[in-house]
Amino acid sequence: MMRCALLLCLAIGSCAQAAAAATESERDLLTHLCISCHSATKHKGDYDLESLGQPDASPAHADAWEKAREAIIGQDMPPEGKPQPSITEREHLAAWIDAALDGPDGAEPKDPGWVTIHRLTRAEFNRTIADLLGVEGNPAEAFPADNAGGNGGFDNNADGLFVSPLLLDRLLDTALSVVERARPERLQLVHAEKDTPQARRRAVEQSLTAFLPRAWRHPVTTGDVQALVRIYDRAVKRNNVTHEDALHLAYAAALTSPNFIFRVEESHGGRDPWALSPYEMASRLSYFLWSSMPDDILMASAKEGKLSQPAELQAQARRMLADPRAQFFISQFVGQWLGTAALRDGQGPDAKQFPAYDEALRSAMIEEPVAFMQSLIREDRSLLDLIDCDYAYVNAELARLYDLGSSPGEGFQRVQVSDGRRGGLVGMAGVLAATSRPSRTSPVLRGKWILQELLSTPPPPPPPVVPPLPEATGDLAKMDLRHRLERHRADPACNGCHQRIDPLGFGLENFDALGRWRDHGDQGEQLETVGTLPSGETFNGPQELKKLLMKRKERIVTTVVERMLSYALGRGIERYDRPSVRRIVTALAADGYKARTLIAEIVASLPFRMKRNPTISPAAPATAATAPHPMPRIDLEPRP
Amino acid sequence: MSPSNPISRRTCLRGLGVTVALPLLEALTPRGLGAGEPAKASSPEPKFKPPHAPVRMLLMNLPCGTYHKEWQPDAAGPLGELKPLLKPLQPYCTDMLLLANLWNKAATADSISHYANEAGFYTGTVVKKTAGADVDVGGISVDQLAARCTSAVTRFPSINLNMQAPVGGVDSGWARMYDNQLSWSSPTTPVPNEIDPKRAFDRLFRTPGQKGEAGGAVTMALSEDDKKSVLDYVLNDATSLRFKVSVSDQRKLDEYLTSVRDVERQLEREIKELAKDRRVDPAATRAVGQLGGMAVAFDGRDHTNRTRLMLDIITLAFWTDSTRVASFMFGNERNDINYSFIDGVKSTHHESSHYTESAEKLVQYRKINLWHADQVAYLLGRMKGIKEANGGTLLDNSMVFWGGTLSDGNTHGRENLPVMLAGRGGGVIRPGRSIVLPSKTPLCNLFLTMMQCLGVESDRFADSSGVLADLAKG
Repeated sequence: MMRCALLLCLAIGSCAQAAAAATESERDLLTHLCISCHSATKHKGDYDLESLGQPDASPAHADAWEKAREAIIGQDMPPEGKPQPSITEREHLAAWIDAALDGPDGAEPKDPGWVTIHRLTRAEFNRTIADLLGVEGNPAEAFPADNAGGNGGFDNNADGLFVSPLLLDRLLDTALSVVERARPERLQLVHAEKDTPQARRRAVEQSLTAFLPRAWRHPVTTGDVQALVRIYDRAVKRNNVTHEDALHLAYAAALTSPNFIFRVEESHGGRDPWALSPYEMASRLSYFLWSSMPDDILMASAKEGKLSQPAELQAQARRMLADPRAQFFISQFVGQWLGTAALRDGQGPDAKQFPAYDEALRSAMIEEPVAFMQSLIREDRSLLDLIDCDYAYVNAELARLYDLGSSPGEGFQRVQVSDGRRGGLVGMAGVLAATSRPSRTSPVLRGKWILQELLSTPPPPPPPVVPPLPEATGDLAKMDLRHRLERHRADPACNGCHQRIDPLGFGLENFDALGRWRDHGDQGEQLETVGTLPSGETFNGPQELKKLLMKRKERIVTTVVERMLSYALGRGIERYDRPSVRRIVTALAADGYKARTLIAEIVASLPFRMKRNPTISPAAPATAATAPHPMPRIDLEPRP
Repeated sequence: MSPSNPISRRTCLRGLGVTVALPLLEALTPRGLGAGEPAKASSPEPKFKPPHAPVRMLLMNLPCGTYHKEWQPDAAGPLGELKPLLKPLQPYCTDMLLLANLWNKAATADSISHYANEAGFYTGTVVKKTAGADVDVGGISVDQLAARCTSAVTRFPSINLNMQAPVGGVDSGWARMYDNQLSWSSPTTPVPNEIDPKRAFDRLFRTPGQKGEAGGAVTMALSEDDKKSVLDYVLNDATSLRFKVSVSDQRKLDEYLTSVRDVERQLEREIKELAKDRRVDPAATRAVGQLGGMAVAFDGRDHTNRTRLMLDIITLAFWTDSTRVASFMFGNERNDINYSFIDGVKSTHHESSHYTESAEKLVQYRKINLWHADQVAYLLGRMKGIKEANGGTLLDNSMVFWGGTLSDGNTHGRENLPVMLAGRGGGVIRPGRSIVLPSKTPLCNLFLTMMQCLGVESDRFADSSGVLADLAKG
């Protein structure tokens, strides 16, 4: 990137004229704040903003401008000790750069990007099998665990969903096993008119003709059906294979097929984007909101071609969101975005060291943000409630943990909270616990969580050498956390990032590793929860921290939009998605940040409805050819 | 092997003794490729010459480094009293080598990321920094390369086990999935790890066409004929689908197609093996039955028991010659397993490894390190207790690698990696010593040497510059 900035200086001689056209106020601000260091002559950090001139949409400059934008909005720049712009000024500059990056045609989204075909995740496989065959449970448990995540951070990211021999081997067995346990009516079996091989074969043909379009989520050809009937034919010819076994095998083959385990979207060729087919649209919608296959109503809508109409698409989305199946989407989205789902895998506090942290409390911690988000959607409330509000959803365990007095009764109930401790994500026990170490709180993890998951400005990785001490002394061990971290921050190599991270985390030190309120630290010390951000803003405790976060609501709402769009598409958010994201943020701002508007706008967005071919070279095994070291070649064929 | 080669592998393996082994390893060294000499530009295609008696390779990781000065011996020479963190291995000091000064140069190409260190540890290549859209480790891992060859004679190419479930998301611009993966069957294809001992057992030891016994009622194994028929069908299906989708989708379908072919090949091998009168030691068969019972009875809770079940599975997979290549991960490299089940430990491995600020953390780090050494000792004990037909023990006929991507977990030092190699590799290796190699000796030299002991006639692996002839010297 640094070298890239230098190369850019050489490449753009014509930028001098362009720079002259820059709006006076923004240009002045930029010169005042940035160009004193990042000039053509000084180019501090190997970054020369002066030569870039005016922001523009050319791909060659866009990266460098993105970098500037991120540094400004993320408050990484200007460094401490230099004049600091106000948040309004930062947002103003970012908007100015955004507008330029959008190009002369304005903010109209033009490029929908592309998504690799999705292999069903383990969760999606389970839910699809439940809807298709009526087989409940966790059959996909036999598959190797998905390599969850990738860009965007969700386990439905297509590029992180691999197919391995182990998966395929298990899929073969699992497919047969679920077919054998299927509810008979779900297999749509047609009974043979006579008890002859020919009549039975014909019944198999008719059964598969009815079943296959549902299983594959799109219409099929006679050839598709015949290929499966041939599996039946071969099987019944073998000894000891009954008609039923052979039939089941054909069904199992249909579920092992790539047409089932991938959400296939066909390419239209060429360079231009195209609209997804109605059936592809139906699958996108159902795997977004249900993590499962489309139901009959959705398939009927696709068949009639109505899903291409915006009004019908929205009506279906509303219907599906109101269906109980949408609960799963909310828990997947919230659990993976906030990191609270990881509590289930043992991340966070250690039950051995925190006896109160039992299974019931752990479940409640995972459930709280889900119940909260469900209520936002159900009641169409403002997404800003995620940042700060005067209510919480608690069950008996959490009411006790939060010291809210009497138990609210069965399940999760809404309670008013007025002291500012609870209300909003940063007061939720699940978030506070997921960002704790097994034995204690971690202001660093909590600060990093706010920067990454709320503000989308994650700190860079630590420097190459974390300075070691020859031997840790007794005094150090006694020092409380704040003073130990202050010691760490005294090192200039650490300070750059930790001055951003630590104050945010210390603002939450009133919550212990389980999220209980406390006034004293682990060693009995009085907690100091006053923090100063690099911007100079000072705050004390979670109440005031939430006020500061509210001042950054555009940023936080943008994060929510990006995360949910990423989940909906099953891919990371790219630069070309920016106009779509901004359009959704604008629509939300105009509508009081209503939660259902978010989902409606995502469904209506360009990348959700359209796609184009990837801009990667068709030379697939390019990596092997360009591997830094020649590899010994191995004969892949099995030996005789 | 070409006729110009002076000595065949078989001769080498016949001589388990001291005197034969030394010149043999040198003879295995490609001409002009002594340790430290630059490799030839192009490598001849390596072939596989199965050794007379099976030789196995197990790769085990050592996450988050060690407290190095209490791990590595002070000097070269016979292994006497081991350093405190290796004390549990004392009974096996004559069965193992400790190798100093190995490094993985490629891992130093980018900062200090655990992710790049991990994903490139067994590949010896530079890992591409990505948030996940285009993972690429730059090469195939040594276990998978070896497995492509040894799979000609075993039912399973390799088994890959991990004690920790995959962790997702992005950290500092790196896809965290890199951290879950040591084994790569291609630069862009991670090999999934089994994390459930029951399923791992079931896959290795079940009979086709039968319901899985250890795995419970969920697994319903297809008969061979059924499998063949379905595999043929999906192969056609995927091939015709390939024409309808975009370039990036074709790559996904290619993963699918490759997997289908791999499963087909494995099926053919299984049929072949079953037709043969495989002379498995009756003691091994009994042990398999016993382990199956233990796997079924295991409630999934105790971490130490779980670890030992996994190590037992590997031991039996080797003993029954079901596979000759295995990898075992004590956890992901950025090991977030909570080790509070050890007395006096309150933290995760990764947390304690950054002990800069706290003597208390260092105490915990040492204890976690010791626990790991304990498990390795358990494994070596099991392998040493098994006598094989050629007179040696299973350990003698194996190479057990245990190594870390970091020398010290606190500073993320990447020179002089902690590496232990146990076993005699079928008689080629002379254990019982501490060997101090020249500074910055490529780790891939060790991997290359290990591959050759398996019977892979390769003269190069990633950035290797030769084999480690020292391993055979007395």
